Amino acid sequence: MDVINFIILVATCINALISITVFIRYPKTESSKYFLLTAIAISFWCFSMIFYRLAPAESSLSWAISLYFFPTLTPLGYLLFGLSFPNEKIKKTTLASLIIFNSLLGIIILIPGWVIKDVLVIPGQEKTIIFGWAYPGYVAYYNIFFPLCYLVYLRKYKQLTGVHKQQIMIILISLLFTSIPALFTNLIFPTLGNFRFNWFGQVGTFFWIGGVAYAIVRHRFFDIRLIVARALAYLSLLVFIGLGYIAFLFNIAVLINNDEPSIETFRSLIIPAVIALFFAISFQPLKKFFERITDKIFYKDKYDSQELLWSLSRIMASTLNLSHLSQQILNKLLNDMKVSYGSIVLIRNTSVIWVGSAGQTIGHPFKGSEIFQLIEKSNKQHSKGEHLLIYEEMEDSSIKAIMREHEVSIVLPLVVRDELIGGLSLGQKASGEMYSSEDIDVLKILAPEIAVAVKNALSFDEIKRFNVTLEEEIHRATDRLRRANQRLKELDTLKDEFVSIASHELRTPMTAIKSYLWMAINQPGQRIKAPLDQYLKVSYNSTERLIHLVNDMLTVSRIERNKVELKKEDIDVFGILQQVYEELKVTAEEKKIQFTLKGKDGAPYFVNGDKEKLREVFQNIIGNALKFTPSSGKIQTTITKDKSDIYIAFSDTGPGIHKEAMKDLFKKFSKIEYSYAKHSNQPGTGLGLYISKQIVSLHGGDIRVESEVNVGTTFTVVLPQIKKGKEAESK
Amino acid sequence: MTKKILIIEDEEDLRNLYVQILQKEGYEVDQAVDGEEGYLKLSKGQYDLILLDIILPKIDGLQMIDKLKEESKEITAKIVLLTNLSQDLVISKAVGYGISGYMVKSDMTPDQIVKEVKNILERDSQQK
Repeated sequence: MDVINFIILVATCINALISITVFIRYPKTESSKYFLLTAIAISFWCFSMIFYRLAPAESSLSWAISLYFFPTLTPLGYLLFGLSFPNEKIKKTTLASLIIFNSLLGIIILIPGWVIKDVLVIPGQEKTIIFGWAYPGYVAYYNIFFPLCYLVYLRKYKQLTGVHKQQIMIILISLLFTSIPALFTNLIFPTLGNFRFNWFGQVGTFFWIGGVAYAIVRHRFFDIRLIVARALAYLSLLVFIGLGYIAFLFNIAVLINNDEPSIETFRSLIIPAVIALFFAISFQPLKKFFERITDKIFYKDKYDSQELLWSLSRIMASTLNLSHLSQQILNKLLNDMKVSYGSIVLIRNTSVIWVGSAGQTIGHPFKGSEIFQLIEKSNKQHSKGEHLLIYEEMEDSSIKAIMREHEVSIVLPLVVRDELIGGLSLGQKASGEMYSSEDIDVLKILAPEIAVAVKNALSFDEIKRFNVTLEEEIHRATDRLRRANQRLKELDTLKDEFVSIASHELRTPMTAIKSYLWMAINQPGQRIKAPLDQYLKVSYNSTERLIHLVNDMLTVSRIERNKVELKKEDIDVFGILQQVYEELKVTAEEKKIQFTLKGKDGAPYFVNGDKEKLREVFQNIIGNALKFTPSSGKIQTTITKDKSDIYIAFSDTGPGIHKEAMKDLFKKFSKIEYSYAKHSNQPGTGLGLYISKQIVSLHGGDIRVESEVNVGTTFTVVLPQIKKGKEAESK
Repeated sequence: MTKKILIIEDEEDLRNLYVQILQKEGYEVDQAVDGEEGYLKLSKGQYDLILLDIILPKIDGLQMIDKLKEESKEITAKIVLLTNLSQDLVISKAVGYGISGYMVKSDMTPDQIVKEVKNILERDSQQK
């Protein structure tokens, strides 16, 4: 074993390691497979070189063949890797032809005498290979394939962007540095008969390894940076131990034998050195193995902190249910750290709002205030700059007394964004030991994570509870509304009944008063002396007004209960108007009012409506006009129509209505009408226009009003015309 | 021949008034204070016109009409409803029963009532 072989061995091992790591850790993409092929081919090539150089004369030929066989796979691997990187499919035809071509080449090499004829072993020199007739073709293969690889890589470099661009560049550079010297030392020089450097190609693979390692570490090549970094650290450790051990043994041997150091001494040390390396390698797994066994036997609180952190992270990510969350966190902690008791306490302001605990406590039950003191103290504890309470490290104090009483060993504050939301307290370890610094470190890492998780769960919980409360509240409110509505309906019915009964009951005595007053006024053949006649007349009019009011109230009540039924028939509105005019003509004449009705006699002004109700409406409007129009004024009613509607406009020369009063005109007990009523000697009830509007609405019509103060008012009743009118006319 | 009128009215003051004004017009007027008494008198006597209140003790006006219909009594008298219930429904129902007419008490002065009674009786005699 010379230095060259040793270096090649290291190269072999590292190549093998890289290929194995990529193979195990990286997803099986096409490019990773070809990379693997390349790395394996290089490994075997290097491996073959070691044995070729070590082999005795009789087996040299077969090693030489293997030495020349494996490298045929490397340009193929490189080329395929380049074509498929980072995530492309290679055309099946391309792939197939390349593989077939390479296989043929491989077969040609394996045929004795074609590429390699024999190996000449000259002691003290590198072995010499005698090439066959096909060797120039073999050389040509590399000289074509490698440049092809460079071209493919360059093209990729141009196409790709970002991290992949960097990766392919580094791979290309390391490939150039590895392949170009190898082409010379391992192919061209031997062709010329120079075998002195034919090992250099293998040693040169360090460029390749270095490039790949650099790409992995700096440019996330294959995403195995962490593993490679660790592997390197581990490897360095092994090398360090191995070399150190060998150096140590070597010196001891030299000292003991008092010899001149020789190759023999060195050789004799190889076996103990390998054994030492083996021990070094096996130390870690063995340690773990035995620890696991002893843990089981002695209940030693040993746990894998990484694993604990990882599974707790998973627990915290898995649920938003506060009880589940705290239970799972505590169970995991208690189980791994072998702690008897633990609890997560949430506080708000100065009170404890939630407690979740696990395990068995031997201590006394907590008082809320004591828990709060502990948590608050833990958040203030600044010894060594740390926010936590550790029983063993505390000086005697009331807080320590509380911890002693309840057998609490550690309290950590749970803090989210500078707000203290609670605490995590743990009891004593089952073994009775103190918490180790590793435990404390793990807990310090965990506390903020637990805080956030618990806070989220708490918020979620509160929102859920708020929703439930809200639902209940809405339910109750709806219920109250429903009951109130029911009650209102009952009241409404009662009111209607009351109005109905009251009006009837009122009308009976009023009828008696009215009738007897009439009798008194109209005694035949007797003249009543003034002012008694006046008194009787006023009384009579008031009774009339009262009866009118009661009637109107009854009508309003029925309109509002939708109990008014129209006895609809096809009627001539003009006819009704004429009747109303006849009735009221006397009053108009008394006031010397110019009282006219314009419309075509006999023209079809037909509507489908209730005769009596419409008569009431007209009586009401004209009655109002008569009431408000001063003597010698003018009242004119004009009936017109268009295609769909009939318009009846009642114009007077009364005082007019103020704009502000307009909007309230059709409301119940409308103020304007009411106030006018006060000034009028024939007061109304204040319900007339309201009732009229409702009745017209029931007919599908409308009442509009235009007015100018001191000029007059025009009420226009709009009623839908019916087609039937023409038929009625023709009859 | 003097026409016979029966007034069925529970309100004493009104009843007296109607009796008074109708007697003055020369009619022979009989009276009843509730539905039951009215029904009995109606069954016995031969009346030309009955002024019937709707809201009455014991048997109300509409019930009485129902009863008369059920028993298919030969009633020669015209029936006029005299009421203060102006609800269209009640009145239209009554009209549907074959009633000669109705008067809303509060809307009428005594002379209007007399006039209406005269009208109905005259219409009656014309038809005969």
